[in-house]
Amino acid sequence: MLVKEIMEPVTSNWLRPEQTLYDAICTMRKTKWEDSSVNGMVVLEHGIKLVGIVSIKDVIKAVIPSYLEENLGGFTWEGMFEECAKKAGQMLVSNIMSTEIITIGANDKLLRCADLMIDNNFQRLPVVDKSGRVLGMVHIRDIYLTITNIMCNAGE
Amino acid sequence: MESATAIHHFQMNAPFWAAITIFVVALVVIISEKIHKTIVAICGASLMLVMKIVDQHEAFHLEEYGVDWNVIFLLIGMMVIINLMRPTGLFEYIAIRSAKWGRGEPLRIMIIFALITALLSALLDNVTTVLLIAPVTLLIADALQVDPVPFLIVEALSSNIGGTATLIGDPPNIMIASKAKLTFIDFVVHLAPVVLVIMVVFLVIVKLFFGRRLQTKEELKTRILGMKENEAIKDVVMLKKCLAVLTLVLVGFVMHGMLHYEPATVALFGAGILLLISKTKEPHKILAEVEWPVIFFFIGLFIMVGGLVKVGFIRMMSGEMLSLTEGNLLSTSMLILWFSAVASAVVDNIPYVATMNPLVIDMARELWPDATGLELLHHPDLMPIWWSLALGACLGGNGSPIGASANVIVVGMAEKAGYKISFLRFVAYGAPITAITVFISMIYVWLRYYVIGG
Repeated sequence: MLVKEIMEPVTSNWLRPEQTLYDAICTMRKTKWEDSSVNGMVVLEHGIKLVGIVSIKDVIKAVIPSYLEENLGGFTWEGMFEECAKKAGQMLVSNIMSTEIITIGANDKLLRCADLMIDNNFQRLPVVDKSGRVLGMVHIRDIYLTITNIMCNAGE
Repeated sequence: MESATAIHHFQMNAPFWAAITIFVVALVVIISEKIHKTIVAICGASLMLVMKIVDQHEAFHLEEYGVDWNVIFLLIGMMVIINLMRPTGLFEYIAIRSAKWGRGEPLRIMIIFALITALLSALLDNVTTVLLIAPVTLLIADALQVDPVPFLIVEALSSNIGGTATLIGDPPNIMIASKAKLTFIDFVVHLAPVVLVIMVVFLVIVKLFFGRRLQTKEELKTRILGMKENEAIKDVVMLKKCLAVLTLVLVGFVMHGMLHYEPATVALFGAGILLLISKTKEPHKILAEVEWPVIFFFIGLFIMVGGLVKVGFIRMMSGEMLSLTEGNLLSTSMLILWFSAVASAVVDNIPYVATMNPLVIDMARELWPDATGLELLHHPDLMPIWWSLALGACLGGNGSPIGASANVIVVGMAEKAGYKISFLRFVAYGAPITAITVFISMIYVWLRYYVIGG
């Protein structure tokens, strides 16, 4: 099987680096793929150049204040989580997105894609054509669903 | 005319120009921040060796042309002690405790944090102090919903002021002490009084400036009062060991002059004891946390400056300085004080002091050709010059965000937390404070050493 057979096509479902996290999350919540909201989206500069990915992990990281990494984890107060979440909403996508990206070709084999995701602990990979233009996104859940289809169909 | 004759004492040959070129190019690259300063220092130092401006024996084993191991091992010793101490949570405990003592009032907390930062900076080093206090500050500011930037800048300024007071407080003092053979007590006696005055003036300015602007809501203060500082302490047994060793080390510093130990001996002894009683099985982890880039920056600079000393450039410059002030020691003191302050705000104060130390000694040799050893280094007329150098170099660090390592750390931590401190915003606070504090120092040096007399 090839990557393009299971990828989610990227058409208007992408984020801009200058968007606020609030905007980005609302977009992500509204965007459906295979009947549920997506957990990650590519960030494109001027709608063309791939500059990052925003996933739920990046969003959660943006909410946790940097100073809690020290010995201060125990010092929180009632309502701090809500305050931090609201404050993170004002951040820009460019400041919180993951910029270490591995891409996969649309005509690459699915097994290679699965291997890349497991080795690098990625939940999703952007799919690109030969010129580097983003065509879609492969989600790890879809790889799993493909596996279940193969197994269960073979069992029947 | 005088300067012309001074120049003719030296051979302005190829090594002379090569040494100057290496040093100037290195300095320019360091200021431009294009290449990490440690890499520049190592490359510059090795070039001095490769071109045989200084030979390896001189660089590694002679105090005059090479590495000052007293400075290096004092820094390493203190870093090891602090690295073992940090995980205990003592510093977080102190900070939370003081925020509660400030009753959640922003201005009170700002002033208490400034005092703690100054005190800890005098006893430990500035970078460690701000690394420990800045995260707590960000937490408290978030809890009170106030802008943390003024707090952070006030802390950076306090750490540079506090660090000025003692031998171990700030790297320039460590370097000056080692070269001039001054003791911990000398620094306390000569610098701590003026630092106290400066700190009081600084806090009054902080109160007048921020008094009305820092406001918070009553219900937010209860967040601070509800924090349990005891939860910060992670390891009570280790904490007690650390405090015991730290006390031992501080007593050692106070006594080192009388007992004829170098400060590095005291710090290394403390580090050794603490490593032993901590029962750590992983010394490699603790040693890896020593800030090796800083250590190698020092090593590289010492060798580069050694090259400048050997080719006679430093002696030439000291002659220039004396002819500029016409041998008047009061004007020389004042010139060094203000020049050091400006230079330290623009350049890192570590290379500056590394260059100035031999310059001051050469100047002394020219003034009192018959004196040698301690008689020369501690000549009563030379002492105010050492103190002017220390005051200028330490306090000048407040002038810009790159003037001192503590400033760089604070700006970096603020940015990580989402608060950008622009160059100009820092200067807006730092430059006036530098001018005021150096002015107070000038009055102090003038009164104490030239009007009243040492």
